[in-house]
Amino acid sequence: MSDEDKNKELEKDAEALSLDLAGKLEKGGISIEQMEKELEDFLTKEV
Amino acid sequence: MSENIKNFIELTEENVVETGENSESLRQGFAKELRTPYGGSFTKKLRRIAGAFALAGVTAFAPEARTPELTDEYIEASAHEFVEDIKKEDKEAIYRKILEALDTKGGVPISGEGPEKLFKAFPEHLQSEATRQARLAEQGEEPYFSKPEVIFGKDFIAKNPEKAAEYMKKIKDVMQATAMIYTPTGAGSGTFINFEGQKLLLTNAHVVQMNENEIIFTTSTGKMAMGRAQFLDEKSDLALISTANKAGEEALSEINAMDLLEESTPAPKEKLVSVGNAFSFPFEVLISEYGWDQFIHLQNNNTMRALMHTPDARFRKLASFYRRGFSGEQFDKGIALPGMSGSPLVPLEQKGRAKLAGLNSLLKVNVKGDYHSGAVPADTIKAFLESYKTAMAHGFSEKEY
Repeated sequence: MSDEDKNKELEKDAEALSLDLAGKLEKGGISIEQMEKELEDFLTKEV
Repeated sequence: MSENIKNFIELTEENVVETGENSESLRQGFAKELRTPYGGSFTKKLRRIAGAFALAGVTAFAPEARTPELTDEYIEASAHEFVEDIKKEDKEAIYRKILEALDTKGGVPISGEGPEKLFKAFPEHLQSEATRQARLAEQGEEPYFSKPEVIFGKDFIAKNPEKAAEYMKKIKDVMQATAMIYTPTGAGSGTFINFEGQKLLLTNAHVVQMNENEIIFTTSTGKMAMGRAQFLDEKSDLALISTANKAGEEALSEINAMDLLEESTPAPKEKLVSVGNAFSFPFEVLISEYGWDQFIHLQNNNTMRALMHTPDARFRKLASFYRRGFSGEQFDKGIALPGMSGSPLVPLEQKGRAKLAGLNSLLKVNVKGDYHSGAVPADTIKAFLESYKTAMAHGFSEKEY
């Protein structure tokens, strides 16, 4: 996969995670610790 | 609502909003904010939010932690508008308002046409810093610094209350002697030091050399003033900033400068503290451990001794969020910490007032542009100050260094 494709994938995943977290936060269905964990997993995973 | 969410809301209630209704509104605003890309990118957005989370530390969402409110995300979420969308005219109005607030709350506005000119040159730095100062001044609080719970962890404080209090006293000392420095092309830190009866503002040459006449510094007492590079030495990467104006003198009158340590090499694994503009989070506290002395070959064929130190876990975590490429291994090798250049490096456990062991720096080591972090040791600083003294005694004008 080219770097450009990797970036596109990453951006797509980031958008999905962002929307997911926003939805959960609105409904009060996620703790901040869980949110932090999900962000950390996302930011540290290898593409 | 989980306990953590409750804490999250309490955090914002304390500092941003006043009623339960507004808390709910803020939570919705934050959720809305999450849906909006930052700079066109969701990755950047998540990274910034995670950075704010990480900055609040392992005890991240303790009600006492205030850092996240200083991020754009919080400000935007609480204001229900986006910084990027604010029209230029409105930004200028905001800036004027900030200056008024600084004035009425004891701050020192920059006089004459300075504000407009500077605002045009580097609005973002000024806006974020001045907003922060004005908000804290309105709340009657001292500028932000990391809470003990965040820096050391609740467990450490519970087990070592006296030691934690002693550490915090030392950190406040260091903070008093620290300045945040802004130039049109970047941000860094500065350190107020005592030298032969004078208080001097010391920083790294590389922080100011591109903009020698366009420097703004802010102090921990909330004062803001303009300065310019007065004496600069690329070889040691050191520079003195002239504070010779009314606002600068007022700022200096309120702070306690630090003395240099006689012994400038810390003991092995000695605990150190730095306060600086880390990743553009002003007055952030870095706890680190002394590692080793390193002779670094600089690009200009000079060799310089530097004190290499390793940040603690909390700071590494913050940095890893801020810049994804940073890793623990890189920190062990002493990779630089953006914004900390010019910040003081002080032994945390030594008795008495804080004394300067070195000045955190960023050293370009070869033509490829590789960098090492490390602090310029106190003996090098002393030699630099002696050169300054000699130059001034021989009547060099400030432009002839």
